[in-house]
Amino acid sequence: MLITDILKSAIKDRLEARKPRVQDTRPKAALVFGAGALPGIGAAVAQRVAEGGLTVYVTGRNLEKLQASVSVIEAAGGKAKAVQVDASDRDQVDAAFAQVDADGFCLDLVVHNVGTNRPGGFLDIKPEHLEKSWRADCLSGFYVGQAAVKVFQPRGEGTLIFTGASASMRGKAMFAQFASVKAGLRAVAQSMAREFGPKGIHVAHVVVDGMVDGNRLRTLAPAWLEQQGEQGALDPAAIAQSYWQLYKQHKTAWTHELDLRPFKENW
Amino acid sequence: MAKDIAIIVGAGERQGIGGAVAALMAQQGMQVFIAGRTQSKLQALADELSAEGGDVSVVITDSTKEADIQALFDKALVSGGDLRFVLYNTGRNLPAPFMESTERLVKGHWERCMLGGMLVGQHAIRAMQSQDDVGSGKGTIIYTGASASLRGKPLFAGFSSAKAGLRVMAQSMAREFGPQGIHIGHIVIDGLVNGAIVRSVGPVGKFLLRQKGDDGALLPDEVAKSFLAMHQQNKTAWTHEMDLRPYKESF
Repeated sequence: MLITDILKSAIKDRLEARKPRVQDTRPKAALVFGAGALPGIGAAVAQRVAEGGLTVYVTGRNLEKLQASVSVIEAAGGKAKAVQVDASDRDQVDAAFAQVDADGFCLDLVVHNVGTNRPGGFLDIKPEHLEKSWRADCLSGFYVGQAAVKVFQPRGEGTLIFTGASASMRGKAMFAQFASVKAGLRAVAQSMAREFGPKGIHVAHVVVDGMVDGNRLRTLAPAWLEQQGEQGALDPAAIAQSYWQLYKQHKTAWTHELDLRPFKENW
Repeated sequence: MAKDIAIIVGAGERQGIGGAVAALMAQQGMQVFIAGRTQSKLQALADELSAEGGDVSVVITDSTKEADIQALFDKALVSGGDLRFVLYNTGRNLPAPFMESTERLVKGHWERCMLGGMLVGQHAIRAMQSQDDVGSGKGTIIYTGASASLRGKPLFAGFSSAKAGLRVMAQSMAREFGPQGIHIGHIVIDGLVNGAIVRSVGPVGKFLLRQKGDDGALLPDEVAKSFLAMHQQNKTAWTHEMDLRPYKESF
């Protein structure tokens, strides 16, 4: 960026800051990307948010799974809606944001919980796989982040939470692909926090540093889960409580990053 | 049954992190022991919290002296209740040019941050190890960190080295005692706290607060909520480290 661009942007920000804040008195809603797996982090966050009184939009690629997630929330007395979205498709992401608005809600919380942890040897990584993984897990963060800021900025408030992983912090053997896209997403979240925090938008990154006792682990590695013993994996509901806590933080004391792991995790 | 016990090392006035956390723990129905050096401040804090219905006791303590720490824990644990929460919240953010940093000054920082943190941690862990696990663990020990825990800025070599050392000590403790059910947390306060300290420095404090603008400094009562939330976390999803800063803080 040239100096003149930076100056222009600073002037634009100044003018922007003088504009009166838009008041949105409509009922509040949350939008959770990656909420299909049940049990899972996204679904648990959606449940916690619905319990807190927000209408929650759960999105993911598999409509059937999303509907199951919605049923659980409704059975507990919450309000939820399923929207099929592939977060690596910008139009679909934008459409989800548009739908919340068209339905008459004030979007106050957005959660990006997208990512697939597929280990593999470094020499086996194919460019097309790397690109697909980057689009799904990292570029989707730009799409969701930009759409969220467009909604939040006129009001000067709103919370955006990204789900990170151990791989966001370090690349382990067999995780070159996943670690590279997660580390990239973490840096996006950090840049956004520094750019939009002063504008009243809370951007946070949660590093989930352990195995989650969710659908994926239960189907793929039930024996491993068993071996961890009681409470050896993260309980999605316990994770969701910390997301809720981040959402409720007062703006004089915001957290940008926190880690979450089981007490007996070796880290 | 005796009440659960909380010990706050480094409490002063109500409008500070130690004071605000003490208030929140007292509201939770815990028996709270506030430890610090200044009798008058601590007594005023205890009186205020007691008037609100809290069970709060004062223990004058120099956190760098082992005998004082021993006496603090002896007194706090006498009721036979479980020690569920310990906050180590000391340290003095004194700037000094590197070339003028004396051994005395650097040692002072080291004593207040690392030595005291180690002594309090050891006593707390010994007390907690034999306790029952209540879902959130056997007990929580939280260290208050600062921006200086993560990086050394000019004029802060002494303070930063002590704070960075404390951070790493807390990290080692978390890895050693997490599996035993003891939750060790480190909370990085990355901004100016709008509390008693900044207000005590008169025009300088006023200038600093004004420079930060509305809501530009951390409110102790809001900070304390995150300390409590960390303490209450289910042990399948514990946080070891989190940062806290005002929304408009440049970082």
